[in-house]
Amino acid sequence: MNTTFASILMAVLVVPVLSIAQPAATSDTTKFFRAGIEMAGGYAYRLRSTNTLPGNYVRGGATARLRLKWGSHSVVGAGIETGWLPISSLSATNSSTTLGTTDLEASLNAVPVLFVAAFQRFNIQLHVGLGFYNVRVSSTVFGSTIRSSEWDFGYMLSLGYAYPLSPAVKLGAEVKWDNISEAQISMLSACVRVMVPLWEW
Amino acid sequence: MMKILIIPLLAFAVLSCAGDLTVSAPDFGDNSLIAQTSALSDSSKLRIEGIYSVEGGEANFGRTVVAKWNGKFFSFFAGTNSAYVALQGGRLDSTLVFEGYWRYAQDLNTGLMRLRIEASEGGRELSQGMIPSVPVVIRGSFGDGSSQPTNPIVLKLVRPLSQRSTPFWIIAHRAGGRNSDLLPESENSLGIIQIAEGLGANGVEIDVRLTQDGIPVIYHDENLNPRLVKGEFCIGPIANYTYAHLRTLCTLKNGEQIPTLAEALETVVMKTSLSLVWLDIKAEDAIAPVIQLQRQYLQLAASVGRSVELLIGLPSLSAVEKYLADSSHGTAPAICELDLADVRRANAVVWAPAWTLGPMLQKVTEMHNEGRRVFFWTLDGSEFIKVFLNQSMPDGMVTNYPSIVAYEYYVR
Amino acid sequence: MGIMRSSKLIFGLLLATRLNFPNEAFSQDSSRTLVLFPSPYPAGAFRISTGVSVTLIPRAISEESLLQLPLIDIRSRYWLTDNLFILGQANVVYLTNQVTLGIGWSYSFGSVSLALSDEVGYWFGFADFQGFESTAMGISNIPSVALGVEFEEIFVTLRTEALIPFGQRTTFGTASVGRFGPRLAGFAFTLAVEEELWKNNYFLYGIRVQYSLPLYQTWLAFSSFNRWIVFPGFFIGYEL
Repeated sequence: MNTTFASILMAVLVVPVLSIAQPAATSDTTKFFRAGIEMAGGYAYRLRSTNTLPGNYVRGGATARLRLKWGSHSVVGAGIETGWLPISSLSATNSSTTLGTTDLEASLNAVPVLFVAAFQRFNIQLHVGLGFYNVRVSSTVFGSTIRSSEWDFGYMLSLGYAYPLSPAVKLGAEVKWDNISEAQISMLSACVRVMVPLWEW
Repeated sequence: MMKILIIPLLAFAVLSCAGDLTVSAPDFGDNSLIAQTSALSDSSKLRIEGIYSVEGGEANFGRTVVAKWNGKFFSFFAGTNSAYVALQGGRLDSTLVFEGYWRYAQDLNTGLMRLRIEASEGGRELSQGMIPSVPVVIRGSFGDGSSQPTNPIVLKLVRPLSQRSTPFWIIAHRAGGRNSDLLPESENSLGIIQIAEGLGANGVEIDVRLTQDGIPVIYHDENLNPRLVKGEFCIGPIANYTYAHLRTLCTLKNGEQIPTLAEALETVVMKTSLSLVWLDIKAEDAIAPVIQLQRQYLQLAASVGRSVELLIGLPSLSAVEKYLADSSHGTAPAICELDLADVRRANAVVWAPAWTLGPMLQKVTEMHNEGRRVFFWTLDGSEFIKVFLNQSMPDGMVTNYPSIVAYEYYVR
Repeated sequence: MGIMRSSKLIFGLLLATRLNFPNEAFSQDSSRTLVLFPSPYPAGAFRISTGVSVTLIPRAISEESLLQLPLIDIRSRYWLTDNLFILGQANVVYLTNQVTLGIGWSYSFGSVSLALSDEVGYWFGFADFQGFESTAMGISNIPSVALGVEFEEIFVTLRTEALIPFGQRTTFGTASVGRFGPRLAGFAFTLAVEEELWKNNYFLYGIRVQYSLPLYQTWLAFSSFNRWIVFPGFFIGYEL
């Protein structure tokens, strides 16, 4: 279900984009504000695994992110970011444990909720985010399934490039590093993204 | 823009530095002599206990140390550097040999130590269970880390330990100390229960939680987290996991299984000489099954001739209510952390106030007059421990550093 | 080196820099006086900021309960002369509070500025809730050096502090315990940015990394660790 959800988001790449505005010329000191939305989809990979259990272990998966941003002519803008981050999964049959032999299924995912600061020059964007991740686990052993979750502090750093397809739409790519420091989970993602303007004042 | 990157990049670098420190207890390995020794009699053990002067290791251990047998461990406790020495040993012909490690309790320094009592310095009499006719002198050496010990140390018996009219309980917090104290075993593990006596404790406090399928386990935090467990799929409240899930997916920090309460009590009764267990109930629904286990293991202890108290910990009013609602509470001794009225209502045998409320000598006296004991928790600094020993009259203390409490108590 | 000789040396160095490097600090007018940036300002200049700061308590001390209450963060500087300033800071949240007051000297070398300062800090805390009847207080000395670099509209400051507690007293119920005597307990490194984010409104934000023994921020944990630990922190403020 997670992969389907991410795929749908990736498929919805149709709205025009306006990110943080760039000064047109060095003498342009007009200050104005813009707000926009940014949608991204791609693949995430867990950098440092702590898994020691045998089985088919997958690090990462299809990921999707949504970002609302606002800012002025200055270098720094701000926003909020959320999305879906698959961390890892494990499946095993006839796995030997201290309680006997069992089939085992487990998956770990996260939903980030971050406050983001944005820096932009020459269509290159740097985003820095701080906030929390809702880390969720689902697991089945000995025929019994449990689900558990918690909110963990973490942060994000991303570097991207966006090419203006039109005065309003920008299409780009981004490399992102998420570090859910409380849970010691570190992820690297590569995404395609579309940026859309919403308001201007 | 690149210049502004400095702050977030530095922040990330710092926040990412979550390295885990580990300090393992060194051992002599193939060079150990312990396997060649024979056990000492109880009378010999008592005659070795005492206050010793230190020569050659004063910088590490101060000028005076306390020597005490606890179960199978012969330990020294120092007033300098929060140092302690945990040894095991016995007699080898007419010589007594001890081996183990020394450690600064609040630091990371540790190393090997090997000591001997030669035949001419008390070893001959002690190995035969007799009173030595000469002053007992313990000689040996200590080293750094796993290096063979080369620093000489001499310990001379100054006086025996004072005989006290009432026992004093040195209760190791989380069965020995916290993970952050970097002990050789994880907190709330079967391994740390078995070394608690070497650290100076004669009792342990363990934390009891309930799995989703109602199995009492010993674990402190509400959540499974990197501080306590390893396991990629161990996230969120431990109460969300069945016992089978915990066994399959998670281990404690040093690789041990999360013990059930039954396993912990079995270890206390059968593998240690600990005389008291404080069952700190973290989940009130655990009270009923814990009372059953308490009864079961008290019977086991009696059947094997072990004298051990198992006390149900009551940390909150709702826990007291749950306890009183259980039909068996009248035969389930308890320890209550609340105020005196709640202690009386629960008819707890021990009152356990937080030390941050102060010595409260008057209240302590009230409890004593009612035949109840008083344990303060959780005292770690030597200056605070001394205040309570001098200004209050506690019957025991819960501590992350049993060695410090042991020194301050026995050296008086 | 004796105290008198070192004092003369420091004075001589300051005088030499004053003579050889004309003070360019006054290229900024007093309306852009900043709270943290170590540039000299005209005598009588004053700036104060208000905001919040958070110190992340390491898991080794806080365990499951992260004691990271945000503190009200107030910083100020007042310039006695072109180069000499008084600085003060208050971090307050009732449970844990610290007030510092000190004096400093700064100099500018073009877009680079340097300041030396020394503060005395008094910290105090109150815990009078369930299971606690405790208070604590302590005094410390905090010498520091700050380096500032101006990038167009952004002022970046890097500050290094030495943390030297002189004494501490903890009261619990009717008893108290004190520890006296200076000791070097750690260092703190601050990287801060001050910039105009909107129409002459200046904000400051940054990180402060403290590498030290457990200090006042964790007094309620009564930690007795005898090893240095990293305490990261963040702050943000608005310059009034």
